[in-house]
Amino acid sequence: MANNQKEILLEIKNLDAHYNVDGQPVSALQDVNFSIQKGERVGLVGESGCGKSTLLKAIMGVLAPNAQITRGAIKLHEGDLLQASPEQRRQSRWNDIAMITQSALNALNPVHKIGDQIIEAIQSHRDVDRQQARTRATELFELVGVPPQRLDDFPHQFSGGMRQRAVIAMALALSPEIVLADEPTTALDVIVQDQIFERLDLLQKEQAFSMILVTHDLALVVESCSRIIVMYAGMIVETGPTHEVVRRPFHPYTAGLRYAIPDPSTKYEPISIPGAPPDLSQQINGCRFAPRCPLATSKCELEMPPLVSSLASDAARQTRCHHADQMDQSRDRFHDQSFWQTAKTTS
Amino acid sequence: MRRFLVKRLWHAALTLFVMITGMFFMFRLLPGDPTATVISPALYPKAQAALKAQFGLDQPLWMQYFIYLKNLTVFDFGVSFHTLRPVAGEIGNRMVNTLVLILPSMIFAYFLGALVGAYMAWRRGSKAEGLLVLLATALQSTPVFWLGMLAILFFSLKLDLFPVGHIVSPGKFPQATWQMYFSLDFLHHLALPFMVNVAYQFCFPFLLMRSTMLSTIGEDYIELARMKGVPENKILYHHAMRNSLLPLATTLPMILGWAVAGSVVIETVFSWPGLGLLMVEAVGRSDYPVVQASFLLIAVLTVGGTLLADLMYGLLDPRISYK
Amino acid sequence: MLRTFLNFFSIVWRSYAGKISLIVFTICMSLAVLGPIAAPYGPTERVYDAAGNLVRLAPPSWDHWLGTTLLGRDVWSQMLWGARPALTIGLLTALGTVVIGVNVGLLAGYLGGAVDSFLMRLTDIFLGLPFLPFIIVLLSLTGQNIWTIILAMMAVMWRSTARIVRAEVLSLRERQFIAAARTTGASDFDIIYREIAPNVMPFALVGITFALAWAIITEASIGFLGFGDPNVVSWGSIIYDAYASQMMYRAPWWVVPPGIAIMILVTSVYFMGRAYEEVVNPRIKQAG
Repeated sequence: MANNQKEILLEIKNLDAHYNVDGQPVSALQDVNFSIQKGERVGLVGESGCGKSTLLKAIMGVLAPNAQITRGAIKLHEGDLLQASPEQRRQSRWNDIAMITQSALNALNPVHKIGDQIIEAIQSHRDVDRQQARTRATELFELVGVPPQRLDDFPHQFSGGMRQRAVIAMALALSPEIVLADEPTTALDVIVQDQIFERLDLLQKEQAFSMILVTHDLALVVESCSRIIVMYAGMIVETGPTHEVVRRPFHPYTAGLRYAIPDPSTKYEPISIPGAPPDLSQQINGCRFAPRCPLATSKCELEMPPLVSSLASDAARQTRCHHADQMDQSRDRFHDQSFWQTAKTTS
Repeated sequence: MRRFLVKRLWHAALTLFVMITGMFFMFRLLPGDPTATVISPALYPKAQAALKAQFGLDQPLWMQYFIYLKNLTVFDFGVSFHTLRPVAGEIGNRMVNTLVLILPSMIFAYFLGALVGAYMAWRRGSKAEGLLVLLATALQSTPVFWLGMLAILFFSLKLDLFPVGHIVSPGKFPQATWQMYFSLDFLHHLALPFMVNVAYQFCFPFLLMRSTMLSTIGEDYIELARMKGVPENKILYHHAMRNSLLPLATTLPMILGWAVAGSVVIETVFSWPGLGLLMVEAVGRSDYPVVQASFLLIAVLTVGGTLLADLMYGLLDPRISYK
Repeated sequence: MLRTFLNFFSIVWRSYAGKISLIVFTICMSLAVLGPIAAPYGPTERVYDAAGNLVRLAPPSWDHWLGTTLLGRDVWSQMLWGARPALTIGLLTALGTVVIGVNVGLLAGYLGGAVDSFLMRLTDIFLGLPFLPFIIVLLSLTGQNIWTIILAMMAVMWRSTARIVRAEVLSLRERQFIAAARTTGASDFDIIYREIAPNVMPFALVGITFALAWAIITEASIGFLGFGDPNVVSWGSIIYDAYASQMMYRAPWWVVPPGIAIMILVTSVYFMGRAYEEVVNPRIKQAG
């Protein structure tokens, strides 16, 4: 067991965070625990507002001023980033962990040339002159498949796909160990999406960085990530090897996400989960999914389930559900939209 | 770029032309005979007619207008009713005097306002920010001539640090005009009106920069710059400030126009012999060739400022292609 | 229309700065209404002491809270009398300015084409016009009284509102409810004044506040330059009298109060405008 355990790069431990909105705390992350190994690709899925972005910003150290981390640690190579000085953090950003941002148009500064924005990233961390930094930027553009002479273009002169490639080039500028990809292709059309993912896939294999792919698209994770983390309302509800989790979800929410995707190989119609995520400005003692869950009992409403191993044979599979043990019998029923309607708030 | 330039120049020229024409006919068509001061109705009709002929007032109105336009092209602004000397002779110096007071103080105030505004947006929510916003708004709400009077009251009369007004001390006027601008005496006279104008002109760029910065700071590219590990001070000036300059540039013509137009007031308080004071004095004496000329030059400065700022806007924002 | 107006006050009242400004503005308004009644002396009344001597340049005292002027006038009384012209001229000018500006903006934006080009060219020309010099020239030709002052200011100040309103109309014109009105056969007049105009009211109100602030300061500047209505005592003319008397140094109580009054009044107007603007439209930035 111990000898096939790879080196752990990043470890998030017991992370709690909230936003202060009009003087009231609104929970954003609750008890988040996970780790990333060297070269690993992990998919992080959940609806918008589930805390994905907050988690990424917490890792990058760019949380909004009204956000506050109240508990936990973000360990990179055993050192806690939350304990580091602002200057140490600044140096670590992009150098160790870089990010491919969601909307490449808004993320690039409209008044600076794209090449200069990449050079800026390099020069903020490496003591190199402009020419050397530019050489690196040229290399990077070739790497992502954009003609290097376009380094001198402004963002508005690029197409959406090219902008996204430029953002990927920027993320790889300092050969980081970890790349966070936040919905990297949402704004693009399907063909360009595929091209970008192929390129990213290739680069990840070549350069062997670890990657957290954040998306609401479960299919994308199935295609590209070995491990999956499912988040709901600021908490991790299920995690494990992607194919295992998708084939045999132990959390009703994961089942819901899974069966929402049309699958031609089965006779089932896709379902949609009724209801909406809970209001996190309220204190919730029980399971946060309970109001939308057909399996919920009074225990679920009163007591928060812990994230525990859900399968004795595989310690990597963990679920946060009081009724995980019932899932093997009732899983098929989650294909049925009418079963979902029996949940408390939707019936 | 070229077409844009031509179009802008054409607009500026049209604006000036309409103003010149409007001014000319306003003087001649509105009630009241502005020539009455120089041609006394008490004179014999023959003498009146001779004088009218001398000033070209015996011609029909449209002829006068064309003669006026023709003369303008060679910078002939006519003859002052008051001094009976060509207006062009005096007005050049007056314009330089206005420019040396208004332009440096404007530019200084604009830079200061932009810098402080940006910095205060960076420190949003702090006590210093709230206080400065209140102070700037109050200053903006203060008549600038009153500010000037308080400055004279305090700095000149009470502390005796600066002269009460004028551009040089009496009797110290140097032989060549240009020498004046390099004399310490001149700088001594410039100091107080300069400071008052800076204090007043500071407010607008300060408030505008601050509010623009506050919205820029929320942009994704600021967050990305931070994620890239770009040092904070570089994010402030290279990203946030750089991107907040556009509204400042677009309002620059307006501000420049206000400042030049506002020179009327500040020059009056400080008896500064610029175009504004000349105009006020000339209006008081019904010396309308001088009024027209000084108004025209003030308008040229205003319109020229607009043109300049338009061009600058294009340089600042690469997304604007000159169309 | 009335609802938008009441809405203005409720929005302003919501913010801390807005609340204070509204209170200050209300006090100034009541001064304008009640000032002349409360004033112990007339605006140009000369004050004599028991011995029959003119009380010249007396420092503030229990009898004369803000002292007296060179001509023996009570400054406190002048201050009370001076609030009315400042606010009357300011409010009328602001109202007229916005009426012109909104109409120009509506017509240019809605009709488009040649009308739009012409009106916008005109607006540009007025934007290039040196504000105060033009007004002074105009006043010197038409004569100086409250009405010419108001008209002269209105003649120039509509330019900013016209631009802002036109930009808004351009985007409103493409909206669904306008198209709907058009298919039902509504006339252009109906569409402009019944469908579009209510939607630009917030802009008009923002315009009114900034025009008011400008008009008050401009009126004072006109007074200071000696082109004010010679029969009216306003805050600006008090400063002018003090300046012209060359007695500033001996009588700071004469110069300081009117300036502070203008400052406080205009500051409150600015803050009200900003408090409203921030809520109804974060997009429009303050422009004179």
